[in-house]
Amino acid sequence: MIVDPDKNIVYLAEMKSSQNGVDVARDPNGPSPRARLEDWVRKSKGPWGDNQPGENLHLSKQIQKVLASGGEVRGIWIKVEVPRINEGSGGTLQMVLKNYE
Amino acid sequence: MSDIYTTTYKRWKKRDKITAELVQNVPVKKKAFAESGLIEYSSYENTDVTEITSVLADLGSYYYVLLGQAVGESLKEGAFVTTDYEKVYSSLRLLNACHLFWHIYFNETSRGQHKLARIDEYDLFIYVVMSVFYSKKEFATASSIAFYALNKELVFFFGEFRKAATQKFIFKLTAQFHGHTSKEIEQLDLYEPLFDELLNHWDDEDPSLVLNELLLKACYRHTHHSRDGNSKEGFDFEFIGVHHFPLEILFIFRLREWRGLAMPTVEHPIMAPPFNTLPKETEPTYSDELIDGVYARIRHDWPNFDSTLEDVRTLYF
Repeated sequence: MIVDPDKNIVYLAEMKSSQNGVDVARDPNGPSPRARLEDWVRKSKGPWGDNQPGENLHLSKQIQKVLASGGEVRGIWIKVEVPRINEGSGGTLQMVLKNYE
Repeated sequence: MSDIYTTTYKRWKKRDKITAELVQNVPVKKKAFAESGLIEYSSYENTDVTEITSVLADLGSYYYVLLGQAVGESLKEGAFVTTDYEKVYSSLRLLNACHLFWHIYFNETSRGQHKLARIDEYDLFIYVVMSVFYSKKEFATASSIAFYALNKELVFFFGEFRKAATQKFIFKLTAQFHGHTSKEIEQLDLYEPLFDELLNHWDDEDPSLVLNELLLKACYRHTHHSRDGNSKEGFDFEFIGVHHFPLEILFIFRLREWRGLAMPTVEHPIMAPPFNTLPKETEPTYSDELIDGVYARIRHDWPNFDSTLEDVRTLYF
């Protein structure tokens, strides 16, 4: 997650990988990026104790402020081909970035 | 029949373990972070009126920590420490009022062009349930906020991923109690036949015929839902502060009391004192500098804050 407070946008990245090429990497499925963020915010209240790093408190508040002020949520779908390793040599890592709703 | 209605969840944490965790492991940093945000707001460190959005975030964390502390102390003392709950309630009531007010204001000014963070079903659920600890007047106010938010679809549910059956049951029962009907509330899918039965039997004259057994099943179910969720499945009572707090049962007890009906008898470990009954109803009188300061700033920035919420109340009561 990346927050741009000046533009009032939260970017939510979701990575899907495959060893059979970037085109075969699965689509992000399930709830919309906005719904995922709203759920993340709810969960961020939950853990009891101070195990979470302090940055999470700031991040959660920044995200909540963006969401509460009508800001935008942009989903970024990162498709990655993870190369197979053959006899000790790795292949080429391929990555494609797309928007998703 | 599924054993979630007839057995206690085998990993339901023991009461003394939960008590120790709640009392000894208070998230003090999270609490201090929220408190400092609320102090900043009430001291006008940022005079932008839209800073109300930061209050929503801070109050959300603040009441959560206070609730865990209140429950921890109750379990430790074996008694309902009423001041602790009033403190929780004062911040929770303000949170829900602020959130609804902001929606009404924002939607009017933006004419629905923007999406706004929805009201968390959990915040609204805890508010409605806790309002019956106090008085019919408090319950009516909380109910009006819930009805408005639900009817305008301003409440965030996570669909199939978090069924929130108890939360929806409480909203439906609240509507039924007040005789409020709306298609939005009727359409809330409970995903839980037990709650459908409870909606039919909560006000039975004789609880010994059906209701006692249904409530016992609800106690067992509560234990099965008292655990952490994951990315594929959510549970109704993920917060450890409510693992041993049978909110839904006590809610029904109070509604029956208000209807002059006999108290049900439920024997289950979750109903051990102090959570076997609710304290006598009363008007909440707690106030402190922190919450009073936030109210003062909101009323300064938004002179129509109280009248807007009063308008919401008069829609239903």
